[in-house]
Amino acid sequence: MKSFTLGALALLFSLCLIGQASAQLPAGYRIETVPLPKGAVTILGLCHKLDGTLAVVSWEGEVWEYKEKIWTRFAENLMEPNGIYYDEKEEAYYVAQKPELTRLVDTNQDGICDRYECVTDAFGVSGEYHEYHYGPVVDSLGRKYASLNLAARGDFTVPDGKPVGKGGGNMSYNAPWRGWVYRSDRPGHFQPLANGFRSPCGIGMSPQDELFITDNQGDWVADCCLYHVREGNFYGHPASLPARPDFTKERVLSMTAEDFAQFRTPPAVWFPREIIANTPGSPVWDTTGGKFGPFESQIFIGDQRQSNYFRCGVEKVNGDYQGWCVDFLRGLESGPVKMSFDSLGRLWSAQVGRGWFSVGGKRTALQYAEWDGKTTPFAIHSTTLTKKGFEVSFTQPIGQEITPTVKSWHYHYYSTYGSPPVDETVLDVTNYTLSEDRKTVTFDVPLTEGKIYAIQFPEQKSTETAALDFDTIYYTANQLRPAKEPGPGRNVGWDITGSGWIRNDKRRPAPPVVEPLPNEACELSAPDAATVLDGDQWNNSTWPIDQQGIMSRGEGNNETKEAYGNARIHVEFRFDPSDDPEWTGQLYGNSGVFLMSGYELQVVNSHNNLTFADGTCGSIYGQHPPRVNASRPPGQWQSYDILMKAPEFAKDGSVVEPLRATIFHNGVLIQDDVWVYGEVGGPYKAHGKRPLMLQDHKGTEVAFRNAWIVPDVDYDQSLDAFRSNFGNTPNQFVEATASDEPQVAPITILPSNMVRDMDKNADATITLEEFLNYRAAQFDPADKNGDQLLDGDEFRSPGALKGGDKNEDGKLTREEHLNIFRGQFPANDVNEDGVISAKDGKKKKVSR
Amino acid sequence: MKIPVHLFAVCAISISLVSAEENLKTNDRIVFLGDSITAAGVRPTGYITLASKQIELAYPDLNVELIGAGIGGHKVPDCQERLQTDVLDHKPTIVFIYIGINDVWHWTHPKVIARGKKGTTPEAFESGLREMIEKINAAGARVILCTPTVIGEEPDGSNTDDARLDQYADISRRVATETNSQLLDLRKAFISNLKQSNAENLTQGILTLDGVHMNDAGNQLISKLVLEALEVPSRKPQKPTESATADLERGKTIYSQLCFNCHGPHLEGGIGPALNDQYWHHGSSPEAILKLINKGVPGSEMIAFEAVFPEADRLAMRDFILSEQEGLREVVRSVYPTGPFKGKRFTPALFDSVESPTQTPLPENLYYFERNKEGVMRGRSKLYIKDAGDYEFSIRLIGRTSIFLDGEEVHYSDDKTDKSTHLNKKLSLKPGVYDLEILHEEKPSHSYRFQGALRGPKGKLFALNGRSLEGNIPKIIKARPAEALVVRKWIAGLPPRALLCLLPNQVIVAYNPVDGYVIGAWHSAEINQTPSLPDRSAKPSEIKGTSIPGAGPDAALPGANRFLRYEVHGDTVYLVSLLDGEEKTVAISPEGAQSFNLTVQ
Repeated sequence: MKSFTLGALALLFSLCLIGQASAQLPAGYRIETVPLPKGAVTILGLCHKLDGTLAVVSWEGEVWEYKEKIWTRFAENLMEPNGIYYDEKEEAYYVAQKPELTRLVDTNQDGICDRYECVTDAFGVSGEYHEYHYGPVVDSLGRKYASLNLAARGDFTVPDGKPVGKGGGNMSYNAPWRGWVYRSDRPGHFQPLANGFRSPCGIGMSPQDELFITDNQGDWVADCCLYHVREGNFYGHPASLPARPDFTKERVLSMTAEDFAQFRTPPAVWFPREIIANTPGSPVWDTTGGKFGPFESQIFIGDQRQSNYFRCGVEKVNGDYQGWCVDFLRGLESGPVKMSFDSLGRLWSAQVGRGWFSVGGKRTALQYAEWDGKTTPFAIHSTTLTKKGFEVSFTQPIGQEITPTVKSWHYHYYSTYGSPPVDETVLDVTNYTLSEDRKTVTFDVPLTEGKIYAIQFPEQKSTETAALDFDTIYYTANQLRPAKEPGPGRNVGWDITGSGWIRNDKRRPAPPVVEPLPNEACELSAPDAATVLDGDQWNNSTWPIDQQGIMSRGEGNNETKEAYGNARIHVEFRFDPSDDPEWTGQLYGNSGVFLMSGYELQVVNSHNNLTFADGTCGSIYGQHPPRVNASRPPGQWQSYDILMKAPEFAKDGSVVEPLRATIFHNGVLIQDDVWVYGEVGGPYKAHGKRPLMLQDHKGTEVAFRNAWIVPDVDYDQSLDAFRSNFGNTPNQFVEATASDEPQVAPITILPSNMVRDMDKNADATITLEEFLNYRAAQFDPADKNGDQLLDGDEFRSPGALKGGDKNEDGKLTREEHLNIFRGQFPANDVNEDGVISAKDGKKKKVSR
Repeated sequence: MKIPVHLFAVCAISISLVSAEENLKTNDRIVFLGDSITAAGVRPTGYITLASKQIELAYPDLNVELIGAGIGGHKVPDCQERLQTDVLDHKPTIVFIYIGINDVWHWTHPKVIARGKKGTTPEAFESGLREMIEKINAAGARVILCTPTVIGEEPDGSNTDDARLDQYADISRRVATETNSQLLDLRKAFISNLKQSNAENLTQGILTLDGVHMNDAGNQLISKLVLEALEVPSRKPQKPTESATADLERGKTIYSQLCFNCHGPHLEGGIGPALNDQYWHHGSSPEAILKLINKGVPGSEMIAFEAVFPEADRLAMRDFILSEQEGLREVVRSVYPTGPFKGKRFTPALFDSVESPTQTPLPENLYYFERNKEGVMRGRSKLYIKDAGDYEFSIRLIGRTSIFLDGEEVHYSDDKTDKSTHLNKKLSLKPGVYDLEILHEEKPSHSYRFQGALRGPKGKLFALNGRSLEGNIPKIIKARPAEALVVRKWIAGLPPRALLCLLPNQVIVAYNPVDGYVIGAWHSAEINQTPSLPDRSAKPSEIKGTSIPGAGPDAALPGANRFLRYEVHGDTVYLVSLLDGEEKTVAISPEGAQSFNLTVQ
């Protein structure tokens, strides 16, 4: 029968050629194309409103609404918006523009945006084209999440000893928080969550409020993949590490792949390149209740290069997500990047083929896939890891029992662009068993941690003799099934944290250690408006107070006599030094500052004393670890400075707004306007003002002093000023570094980005030399024609040109150019002390 | 129309499926019974595969199936043995019997003789053929009987086995006649071809690899003969239609006397739609546009101009419109087998002499060559040129490449002789419509893909790769009368966060919301928004205008610490920041013809 097989091959070959142009769809599914409006040249994102309106954003900066087959333009002239979300409650769109997360509001209800609100711009953007900003997606509390691409070129790559750009890394960290995923709870709020991303083009929120990111293969990223994002984790691309306070660029460059591998979190699912994906877009979850076929609750992702939709599923093994992927449908017109299910259960995608070629061929398309509601396509439904192998489910009973072919491999983790499969091995499959309903197959294979398994059912037919559209499912086994799976853990308060961790999770990364400010800077005396919390103010007389006003922990908790709501609080505390090995971890000086008697700001020694992250000194216990660990050694006084807003409750007791707090520990910002999820012992229960409370807890001695409280402060009004305490500057454009030096007030007379570039030694003073070096460096880039002179086109300030052009040839020499700026220096050195510093205050207001 | 006798019985029911002119019908199953030549016929460049693709191209709806049943070394008696399983079990409707080489060759083949075996006697050859034809006809299929091809390619009859081959070929010819079977005289065709192509009297390498087994040319010849026997029309990929000489001036004259009334003097649209953008209600191809000019749009002012102008004028109108949208049209990429091109210089004529199994119209008018495992590529398009001047092909590539413009070679490079990956070629072009062909071989090992551009005067750039007409038109952004506009675009030299406030008096003020600075201002200004394509990110746009001296950098809000929002009310832009917990509004409004007013509230 050799001849027949050859004949069949020839036919298959010719069929493949024909198939190039047409779609490959599972039975019962079809694809529909929706014409785009004139002007929507390349679309990058889409979302649905409850009323059925579809909104799309285009690379060119427009937002279009599509309702009853009519397109209307809602907004324009934005900068590369790369994702859109509609908030039904606020009746506003959120879009991730390249430099800003923006809220678009139609205040007069005429269908056109008339207010453009900045939600956050607290991340850096250098202008390099690849610094894309994707999102937002939203959790059930309405908080926005978005991801920040690294730059494709720049001066900070991590080549790990290999030649840069040739096997040794190319993506660069040009500005703060690139390569990170962040959350913004409300306008002005910016919380960096996790880093190590390269090109995190896909971002999705599961129905359980778990954040997932897809990344693109490249340097440090072996292949396309799906990450489950947990707050504080590092996902592998080291160029993003300098934003962490425990890293500097120098430290990152001194490390090797082996070092980074120690603390990187692997993807939950790898997507084999060229087979499943090359540029995966955003994941969406099938929550259509069966309207999109038999894949309820599975994850659907589109790939920009492959022009396909594929399916994924994740499961917790040993407490961490890992899972599978399988191709689903092919033949879309362009490359899907963002997807959305509408209320009819149709899966829409915004598709783009520009920049990176997409198999579909068109540069852009808007399409949806629809299920006919009755045909069950024959497909591999899903798989799960067993203790000895896999269990694979099909959507229909299978015919002939065909033992699958199973292959495994892993990837390199290195600075080179992408990794080939390593150690590809075909494995022995044993104990093949088919379930009674003929829909589930189990089998054993040798299992190894950290491998990808390709499970292929060649020529598998259903009992109805339907063939599989895609016969291989890929499983990423970071871990094997443990003897016993860990329990779900205890979660108090709202059952979400958005952090990806459970309460007191020991795997959660410890906050980075930084130097605190010197004690003198932190011992703040009570302002006039404050109530000093001396001996008279406390209820529990078992807490002894000495002559200096130092109060030691007594028996039972200690409440203030007065009750408080919104407040500005200062308190100082000290742990007794102890060498006793019995008194470590949570027993080394444990107490707590209970805001409104229920919300615990942890007090425990965290200097050289490891404990779980959300029990570190400065944590909102069980919820938020401090951003950094700024602890002093036991025996020294430490301080908390707290600005808090009491929770707001509706009449029925439900939470309108949770408690918010911004906290400094020893002068270092450790909680930046966080939402507290509930009381330390349980969920929110409506209450009014309540006393401040200090906790009695088993542990070594703790003492308090200099406690004061300013009651009834306006939190929102005070927040920005409070954040700037202790010389702290907001996130933007400032790279946090561990430093022994006290922070110096920033220069305000010049734009902050200019200051950053001028102030090479970062001492917050600019000398004439620094000022001129900065200007001198601008000459060559400006001199476009390279004639060593700047003409009017090259130096676009005619007034200054005229003034500086001493030889009156209409052009500036290097010297003339520099002299213009030499003349400007005194104007900025207002106090005439020879340098530009914070003391030079503010320029006069411009009036015209 | 030729319908074999035995098919008359089923004619009544199949008549509705068979179009009167076609020989093949729906669901035809064609089995090729034969030896090693047929076994190799199902390879990607084999004659069965080639024929299969051509049939698919000519009759995409007939669902004709071609089945290879060749086994190396087989003679007539071997085929008789496996006739049931390898042929009849497939329920064929047509069977090609292409046998005889081994029946002859094995009389003289030293290795066969050494094993004590031999060829087929003429008697056994004839009776075997007759028996198989009878059985096939009985099963309801017709036979196309082929004469054996060649053993040795010398066309003058001097190959060792020529006499015996002719004897056996004569048997096949007689059997075909006497069994009412269709004859496909491959031997005759081969000898006639070799008389032309084998002037040097070589024994192999013309149509065969070794004197017997087919090379690409041999496979193509057999495929062609098989298709002729099946009366499959040869449907070559359509060449771009030869349009009349592009008389753009004539087109422009007609346009400026007539068309501009509705479509605007610069094709920008008016009563009728714009003709200078990428939106075409009735199709964007040159054919579609010509058809629209010819037929008009019923119920509109667009009348059928075929009643008004002669065809040459209508073509000129069409070409003028397209030339205003300079660039590429109708790009088609064809992939060819590599064999016929080995060691030969690429020319369109050489490509014309070889069948291409695949032709793909490329979407969005861009050239795109894949790194191909087994093929060379040919891309063809129309190139519309509007302005006369000096152009330059600028190409970055590895691989053998030729570029032809209107049939003239303008570029040739070879990665063996020319290691450079950057090549330039200057050209002086006149306005008109050109046929552009790029012939290119790209191997998987190449690290670059073909990238090319045609640079023209005035900074024009036609990308040959990644170029699309859509979205390539620069957009000028100005404020509307009495209404300010805020634009966020990347402008070279300005911070990426800068907000560009466009005032109705055509003054643009650049404001950095991060630190509350006015960065600069320009009067008589507009934004020239560069096309968003084809780059991976928008190229910087530019502010065109005159810088207003002294307008920044200056702090409007010194120490501003958080930007909140912007709004536009009438001619004023309001930019709101939070400064020390207090909202501060910077209002920017026009003042006079060339200035602006800035207040802080």
